[in-house]
Amino acid sequence: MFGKNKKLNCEFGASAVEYIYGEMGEQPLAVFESHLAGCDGCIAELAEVSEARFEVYEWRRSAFEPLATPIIRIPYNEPAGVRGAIDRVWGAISASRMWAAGGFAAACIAVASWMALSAAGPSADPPSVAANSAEVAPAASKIEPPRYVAEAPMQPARSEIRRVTPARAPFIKARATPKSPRTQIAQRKTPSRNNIDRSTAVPTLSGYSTDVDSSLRLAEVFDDIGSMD
Amino acid sequence: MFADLTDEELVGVAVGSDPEAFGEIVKRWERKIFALCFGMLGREDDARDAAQESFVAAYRNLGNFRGEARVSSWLHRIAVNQCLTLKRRQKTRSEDFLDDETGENERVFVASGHLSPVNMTERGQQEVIVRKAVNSLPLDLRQVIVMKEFEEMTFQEISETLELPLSTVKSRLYTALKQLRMKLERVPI
Repeated sequence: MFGKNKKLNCEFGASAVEYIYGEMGEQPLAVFESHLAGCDGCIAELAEVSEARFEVYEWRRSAFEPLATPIIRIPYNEPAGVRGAIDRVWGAISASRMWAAGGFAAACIAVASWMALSAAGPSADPPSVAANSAEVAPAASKIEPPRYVAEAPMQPARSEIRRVTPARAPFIKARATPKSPRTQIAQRKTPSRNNIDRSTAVPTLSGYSTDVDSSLRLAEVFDDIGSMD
Repeated sequence: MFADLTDEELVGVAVGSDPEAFGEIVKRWERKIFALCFGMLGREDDARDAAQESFVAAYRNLGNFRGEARVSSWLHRIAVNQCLTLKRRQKTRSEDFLDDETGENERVFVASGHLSPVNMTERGQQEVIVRKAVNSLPLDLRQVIVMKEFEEMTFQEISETLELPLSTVKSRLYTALKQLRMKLERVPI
């Protein structure tokens, strides 16, 4: 287009970009335009950059501008916050799934609690409803906001439940804590065979039992025979 | 009829025997001249006016064409001068808009028929070529072009978004447009 000697070696060449996008300051703009009128190299540079920019501009305009922004229609004649029938059905299905999962989890926890209590020994109190609810309560407390936990005493934290539950407390203490002096004293008071009070252990006819030591009674009979002699 | 002649030969024919030979020159260069005017003026209607006036001025001055430069560079120079004149005129009008009525009466020419079916088909093909050319640019260059042309961000905004120096943004856009121009030049449109 232009002679190569004119196209190169011009300090204003790269300013064409600023110029075509209108982002040149007022003073540089005046300098560039006065220079442009007499510089074939800068005219060529400007023409090339303008042509490339124009191609992109035209492509954008013809290919993208006809794509109007989609019109969003809001059904203002319907009350806000009311769901449609499909949404309600789907919500019910989702809710039933959630309830089923929650029920299954609660059942698993209840079975596990019962098995744990059964394995601990027969003298323990059967797991009460309070114990079961105490195991389920933390799961429910995840759903509820924290302020409800603080306001409602029926949903305490897990640590509080373990402290106050009457059925589980003895087991926890017996298994987890070492023997305290009180428990040792209580074990010493447990009746043994050597410490049986004979006056209370002598059988009577009405209270005869095979568990009572019979040798003691024979000795008494022999004593009685000897005394008769 | 004139398709096989060079630009310089067409000027000779137009001056000597058939003025309509100049129509072939217009056909060859109207888009590039319009692009230059659009680059300088930034508005389509102003660019259309400037391009129209540039070709009219060239036609009226065909006798002064000495053949020392190529016709294309001669036309570009005329277009640049027309744009500069138009900008000065607009600046004067913005300061004192009493001459508006006179200016409107001077606008005799209208835009050429770009919406004919043939032109629409050509434009569609051209869009594909331009899109491919833009997509073939390196990512950093393409990014700047998209931000500038499609998102219409300023250099400063691009600089802040990409966390690049302002000079880097300008040079990237310059390089992008130059590479795009080279790619489009290789493909006959």
